[in-house]
Amino acid sequence: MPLSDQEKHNSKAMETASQVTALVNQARAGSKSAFEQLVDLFHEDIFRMVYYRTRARMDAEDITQEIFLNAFKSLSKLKKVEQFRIWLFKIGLNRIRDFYRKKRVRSIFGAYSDDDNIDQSDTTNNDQPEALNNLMKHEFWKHIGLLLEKLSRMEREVFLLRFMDHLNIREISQVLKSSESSVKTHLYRALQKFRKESELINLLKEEVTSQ
Amino acid sequence: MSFDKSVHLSEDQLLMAIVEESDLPISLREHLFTCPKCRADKVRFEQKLTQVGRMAKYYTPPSKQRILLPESEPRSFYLWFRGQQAAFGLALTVAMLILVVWWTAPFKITPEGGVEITAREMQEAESLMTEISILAENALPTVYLDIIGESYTGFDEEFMQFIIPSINKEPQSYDPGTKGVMPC
Repeated sequence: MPLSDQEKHNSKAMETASQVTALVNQARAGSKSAFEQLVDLFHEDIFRMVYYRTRARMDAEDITQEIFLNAFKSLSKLKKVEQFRIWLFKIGLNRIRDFYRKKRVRSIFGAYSDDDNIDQSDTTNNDQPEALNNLMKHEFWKHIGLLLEKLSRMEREVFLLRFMDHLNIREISQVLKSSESSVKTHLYRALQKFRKESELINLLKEEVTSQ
Repeated sequence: MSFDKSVHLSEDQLLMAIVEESDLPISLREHLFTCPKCRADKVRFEQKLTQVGRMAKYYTPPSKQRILLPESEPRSFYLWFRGQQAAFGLALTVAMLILVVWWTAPFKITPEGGVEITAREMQEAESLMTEISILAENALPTVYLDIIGESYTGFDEEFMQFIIPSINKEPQSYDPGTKGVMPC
């Protein structure tokens, strides 16, 4: 009997999980190349996770570098090898918190302005389709920003981890060191606020119809 | 529990189903399973959320920076450090002990050297003792000694004999009418 899509997805996930566990064990035994393979596996996920929270490419790159360096140095402290990805997310959220703390201190002394945070890497291109894409991108992040501003800290984190980082409820509770019921409550409240963001929902509809 | 099958799930109940379908009461779960409208509403809302994730991924620029790792391997350093923990602890204790002794000691070791300091201190002590001896012998200063006529100290043996005669010698005078010892 042929495997269904869900079964195929599950078996692939299990294969990846066992591969990650093996690599983490090798890295803990002192193999740098095994850790480099882990970096290759999770680099994009972690970079995106940071970018969603900073929306500045260069800051995201620097923080991602810090996260992997931190993980490399403290790999021996990881208790559950199979939770390597969750552990990376935990380190990531801590580094992002540090980043905002430093930024707040710098802004007090006037050494940092909010303009530094705007990602202008793609806004210089005036090519027609590229410009339209940039406009869409700008609109999307603007509306996401407006939504996130309306959420509490926990609601925002739970929403981002669930729908943008694609973690399940149990993983989110582990990352945030919170109970599953608390995660669900915050997610429910975040969805209630998301439902009211008509402009963002219209933007999503436009995108769906244009694809 | 009986329920009206024509009553669809409210928006809040749909949100609850999206968060965790198994948390819904059995009756609502059964309705959601059998009602095509509620099922479609749920799927539509989930699609929007999936679209948020997809667009976020699409509108994220690629990372241009390569992750750089340090040359040293963490495990070997960690193991080395764990092995040397006792030595580190001992060294730290000794260092702390030396510091405590250094700060609380009554004498300080200075770059001049201990022998020179001791010699100087001995000399000072000697001169102090001499001064004390003089004072014990003549507590009054010379001026006062002159006033009371005791400044002259050049008394010879004869003078001293006159003042305090020796008891072993014969008496200087003899008078038989008075009490005394008769010479043999």
